Amino acid sequence: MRYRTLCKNLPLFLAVVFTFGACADLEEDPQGLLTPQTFYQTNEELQAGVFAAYRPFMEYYLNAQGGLTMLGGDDVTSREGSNKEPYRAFDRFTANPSYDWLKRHNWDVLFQTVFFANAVLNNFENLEQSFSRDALVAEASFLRGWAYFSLVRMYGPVPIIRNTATGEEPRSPESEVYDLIIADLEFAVENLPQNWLGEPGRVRSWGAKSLLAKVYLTSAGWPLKRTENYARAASLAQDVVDNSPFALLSDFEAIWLPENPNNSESILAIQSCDNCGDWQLANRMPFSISAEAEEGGWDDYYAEINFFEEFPEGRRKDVTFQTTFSGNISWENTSQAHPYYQKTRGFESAKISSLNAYVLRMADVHLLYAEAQNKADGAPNFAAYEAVNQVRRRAAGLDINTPDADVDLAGLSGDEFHAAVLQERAWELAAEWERWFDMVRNQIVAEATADREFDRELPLNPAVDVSNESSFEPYYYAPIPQNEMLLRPDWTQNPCCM
Amino acid sequence: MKKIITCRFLKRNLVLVLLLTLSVSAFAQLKISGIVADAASGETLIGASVFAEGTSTGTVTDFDGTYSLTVDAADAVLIFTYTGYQTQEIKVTESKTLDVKLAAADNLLNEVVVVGYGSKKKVDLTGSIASLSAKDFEAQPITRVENALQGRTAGVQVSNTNGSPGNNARIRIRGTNSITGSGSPLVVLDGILGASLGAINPSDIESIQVLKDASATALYGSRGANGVILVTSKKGKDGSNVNLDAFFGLQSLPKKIDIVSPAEYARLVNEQLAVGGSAPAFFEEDITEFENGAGTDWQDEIYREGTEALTQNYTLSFNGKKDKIGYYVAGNLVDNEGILTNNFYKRLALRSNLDFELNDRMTAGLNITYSKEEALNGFASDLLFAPNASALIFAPVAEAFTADGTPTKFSPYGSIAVSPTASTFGRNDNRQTNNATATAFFNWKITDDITYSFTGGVRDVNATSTIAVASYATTGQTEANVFNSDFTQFQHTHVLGYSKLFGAKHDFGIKAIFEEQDSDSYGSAAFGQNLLVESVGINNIGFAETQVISSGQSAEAIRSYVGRVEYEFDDKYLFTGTVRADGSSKFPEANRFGVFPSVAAAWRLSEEGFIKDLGIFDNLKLRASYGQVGNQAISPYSSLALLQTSPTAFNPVLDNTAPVIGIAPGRAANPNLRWETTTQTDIGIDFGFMDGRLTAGFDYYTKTTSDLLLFVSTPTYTGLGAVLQNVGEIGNKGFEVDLGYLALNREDLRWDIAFNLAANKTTVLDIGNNDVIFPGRGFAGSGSLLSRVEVGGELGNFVGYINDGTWNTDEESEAAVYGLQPGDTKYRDLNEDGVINEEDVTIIGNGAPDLIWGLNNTVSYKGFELNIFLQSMMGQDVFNVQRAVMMGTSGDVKTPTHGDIRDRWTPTNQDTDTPAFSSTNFQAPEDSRFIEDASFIRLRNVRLGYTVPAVKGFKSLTVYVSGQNLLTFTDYKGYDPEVSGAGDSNVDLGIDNGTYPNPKVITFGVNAGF
Repeated sequence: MRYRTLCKNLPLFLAVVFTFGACADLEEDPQGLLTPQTFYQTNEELQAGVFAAYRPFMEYYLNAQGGLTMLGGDDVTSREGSNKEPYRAFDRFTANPSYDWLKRHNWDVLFQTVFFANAVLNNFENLEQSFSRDALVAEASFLRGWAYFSLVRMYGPVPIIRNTATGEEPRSPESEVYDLIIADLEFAVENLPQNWLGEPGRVRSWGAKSLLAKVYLTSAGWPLKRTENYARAASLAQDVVDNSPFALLSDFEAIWLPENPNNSESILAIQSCDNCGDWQLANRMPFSISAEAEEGGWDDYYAEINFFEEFPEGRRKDVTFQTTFSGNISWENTSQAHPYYQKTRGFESAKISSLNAYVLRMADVHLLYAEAQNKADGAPNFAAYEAVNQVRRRAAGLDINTPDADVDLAGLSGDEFHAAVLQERAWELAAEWERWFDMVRNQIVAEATADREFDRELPLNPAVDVSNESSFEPYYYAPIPQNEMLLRPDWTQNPCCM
Repeated sequence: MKKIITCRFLKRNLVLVLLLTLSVSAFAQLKISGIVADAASGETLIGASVFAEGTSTGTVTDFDGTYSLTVDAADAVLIFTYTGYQTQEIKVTESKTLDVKLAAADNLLNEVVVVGYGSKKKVDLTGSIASLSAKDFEAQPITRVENALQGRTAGVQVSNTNGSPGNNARIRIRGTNSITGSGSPLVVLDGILGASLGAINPSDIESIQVLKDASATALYGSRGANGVILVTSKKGKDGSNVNLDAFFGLQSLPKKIDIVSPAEYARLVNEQLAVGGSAPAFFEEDITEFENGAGTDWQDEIYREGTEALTQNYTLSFNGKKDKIGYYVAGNLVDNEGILTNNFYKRLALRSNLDFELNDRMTAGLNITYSKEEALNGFASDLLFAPNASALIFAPVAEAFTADGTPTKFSPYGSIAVSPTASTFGRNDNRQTNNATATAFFNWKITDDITYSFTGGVRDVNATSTIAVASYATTGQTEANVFNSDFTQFQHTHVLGYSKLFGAKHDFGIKAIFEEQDSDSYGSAAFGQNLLVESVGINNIGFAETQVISSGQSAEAIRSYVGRVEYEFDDKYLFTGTVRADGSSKFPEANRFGVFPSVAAAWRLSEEGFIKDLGIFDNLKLRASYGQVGNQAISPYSSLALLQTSPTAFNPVLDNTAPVIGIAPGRAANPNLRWETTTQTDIGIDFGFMDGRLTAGFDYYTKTTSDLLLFVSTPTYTGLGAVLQNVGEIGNKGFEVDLGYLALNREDLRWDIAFNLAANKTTVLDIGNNDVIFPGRGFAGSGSLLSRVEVGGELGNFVGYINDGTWNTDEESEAAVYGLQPGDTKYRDLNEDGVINEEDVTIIGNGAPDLIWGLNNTVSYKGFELNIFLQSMMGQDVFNVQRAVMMGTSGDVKTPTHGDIRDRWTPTNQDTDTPAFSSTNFQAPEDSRFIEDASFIRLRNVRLGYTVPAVKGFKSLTVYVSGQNLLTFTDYKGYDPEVSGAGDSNVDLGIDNGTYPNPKVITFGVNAGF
């Protein structure tokens, strides 16, 4: 009887279950998300891929921490106390790999640029060949080349990633990294347009050419010493000086005014924005490098006293440094007793800003040319003298094109000219994150450090000796960040921190 | 007659009469008499008590087991109790002879408990299930269900990691089985999987069961690995009852942190400046002003207490059963002001449970609940901007408000963040959650042996949160943000059961279950910055100069088949076998279905003659179980290759005016993902002695979770980030003890003791190719990772430098090796390489408790009841990041504020771990001097209640006063040893990074039945 009841009702039960049953869908169908299989199908999509690679590129320049590893330069130093240990350590040649900033604001953003650029460089072939497609590919090539150039100068040998990384890559020697950089930038020079209408933040062919000149010049110095590249650097830089639409501005201050972005000296600059909905798109330098006690800034880095005191008087010095502070306090009487840089923060303090950050500006190319030509030919030619002298005249507040015997360099030997140009680069590009690399590639760290005002600056690592360049050699490269080394215990850490 | 009684009543209860409005109704007297006897043997019981419910009228049976009683109501309920026997309640409506047979107390074990997809007699359980009924926690005035579980069940760790009103407690059952996945147990409310405990009114709960071993949790397969909490809501009971449960509590901060005074602080600033060669910032006359009261005690400024920090809870419920319809309808209102100013939690919860007997074979029911929760500023755990944290680091020399009445923004001294008053009033984070659930039931007894039951449910959770940041409370720009989300879940469950007794001894049961659950989520966000009209704020984000919008969608589904076989022989040998197969949309097709089997057996030794002959045990049962359960542990779409999902994070600006859209590559496809699987073995033994007055339970278990889903870090240069892989293994081992003792059971004096204790140890067995991973998040200003997971280590390990105090003057040359001088911090150079760096970082503590226990004492004397509930965790450390920051080690605080700075090194005070102000010193937050033993014993609840006898118009009336967290015995220096800033994290345990302390509460309440 009971079993009959069961049998009678079982079909009903099954019917209930199967009516409701299997109504849940176990196949995933993400509707708000993009997958690589369906993306990179149009130029617009490829362009969005390129734009993403600009983001870490921007981030690198908009943070003082991007200049962290350049504190070894004689132009910048940092303070005691606060949270400035990483800055201090690079200034004192005592850096260690554990700093979060070293990883986050340097290694990470640079490799992120590589990763994002690779997405474009590995997916553009879906699209039919066209000038506009290749221009996009060239932008990605430029950004990858720029990232590797920054990496190889900072860290030396680094892993080369062209496709999907496996995580097993060795640290490739500098020579291979330079080969990649040069190939990427040559492609960029060939395929980038002369202009991007209304988008001054995108790299143009002249930008790629200027960077390539700098790459060649750097590769001619330590460690590769490919001296044949001086000539290549000179020829590219000369092309930019002679033929590009860019030129030195007549007044040094005009370069730095926030209201004068994308001026004729600006070959490539980061276009920041302080009201674009994301503070990371804004330039944080006015916070980072203005005085904390006096102006509410963060004291990240400021000028070394000897560098400031040796700096030639004149228009350029007045614009470059802030020496008086609210209430007419002079720099000697500030909490940190150092002069501050004001040009690279657009004379603003303790705020986020829409100030552009220069990646490449014309004065840099002028000086690149002068240095490269002299080295390539053994002696400076007229154009080299003129290139550096124009920069010097402007610095003195004079007309750029009118020779002035008091200011102009003249009659120097090749070595004297080289030293003078390097010094000029130090003044002109002070706090622009160039000086340290100039010192390293020319191996003049000891010499440049010897003039430090030891009793008014942070103490140096006892292991370095200012009469002995080789004692600084272990500190030419920044340490590979700690977490990266933990994940690649097979790698050898850089000599600073073995 | 009536008058006389009223007068007598008045005399006895004058106060209450004044307090309460009484309805005077007609009533008669009944005379009841009879014999009380043992149900099994028929022997009369001498000294059994008989009393009328809600009155003090009562008597005791005499030598012959007879009693006689006169009661005052026409519908009185007589209660018969006798030590070792089950209490009986009998309703009387007329004078008569009433003979009562009491069942022996071991039949208390006949208590039926919910086990998931059905219920079972407690004695027949083979698995490890802890059971709580409403009476276990109703003595504690609580607004959150988690607090009902806290300290009452062995092996269930409930931590109030954040004391802000309305915050979710962290719950772990038998340790932690996952590193990256959720460690929280599955909550099943009336058969619907995945409820939110916070939305449930504790007064609506009939019982809570906690499933702990694999045999019990295997019913929930892929979602059972972290244990299961089954919550059953109340149903209508015979009669018609109205209950009011109301309490209000006065809250306060349990203690203040020792902070230097404004004058001391000014001197410290000067001293620090002097070390750097700078001129003093404060002159003597400034300091005199501070001594005369200038400056601010920031803790006093932002905390409030007493009636300003009031918590209130009201529940009004109606329940009853008439004819074939039962009902339970309740409304609940919670209004909990925080001890922090401008901070509250509110909840409105409504419930309607209806059940219908359709005929003698079919029943049906419908439960509907709705709750609305709102919390203001209750979620911050931030070292710099949370008011409770900034009050500890902001310069005491600053004033709380500026001359025009707005909160002070910055101070040039102390913290780099905005002031506590600025964050208190200028950063408003409001979260509202609406939770509606409807559950339908249908039970059909198809034959005497075969049953079918259906459960269908829909749950909708709708949340809105808004954040507004005023100009005076930010280092950036004003903000107004709105987030909306909607989550909808459907479930249907079908259970076909068969059970039959073959012969007299073979009891068989089989269950087949089919279940599906699917859910959809949709969310949108609008973010406005730089508000044109600040006062409009979140109410019209359109006025923001910068606007960012985004939205997202996700869906998931799970389909399950469950089979369970139960066999019982002669009530002595019990066996249960369970298999659940779950298919989840989160996994790629090849790994979609996971099968989770379990077996369990139990032997009721107390039913064996040789044990009975001993005459010791009322109950003696051995249990053993083995099985596997799973944890999905990942979010939808985790196995798919995706481009970056953030809508704006990769947009650059190329023209200084507006961002353009950038789409960045993201993670690679991950087709090999599978479930995390936990294999658990449990051995348990249950005892009952002394007629059930003493019960004990002991469990030992081991668990191994394999295929642990871990984000395996790839080197950053790959761009792949952390890749989710099934690589790890984690083990848990522990034991649990439960003791219950009815220490006294006199006629009017009763003392119940319940004690539970558990120890668990979690060990990491494998983390793939790595020896060490850092799955925790960064704390302190520099983002230091404080937690490290390594093979062979325990979860919750803290890493940092070992602090050996400070260098003293005769160690000058040794200190110089490190570039330091006397007075600087002396970190241990573990590898003796003459440099203090990350290679000297080692394990300096652990945030997981070794032992947790709870002790609950209830003493009742006549109408009074005193409940004292102690709860404790022992052996865990807390990383006092807050103190590390206060001491200036993170760089976010310029001059230390903590009173410990008074003990800083000087040539005459060298035996200290607080360094001198120095230009050479190196110190970091990850320093062993900030690791503190956070063992605590807490007086969680003490309550004195009085049940007022026989008040007209009331069926029952209890008034009480209670205190929560009145006393905490601990050496911990921070506010509260129980808090942790990482909330629900599995690896960042016990990290006090400016976390809201749990308040002390004095509560007054009343429970009334009408």
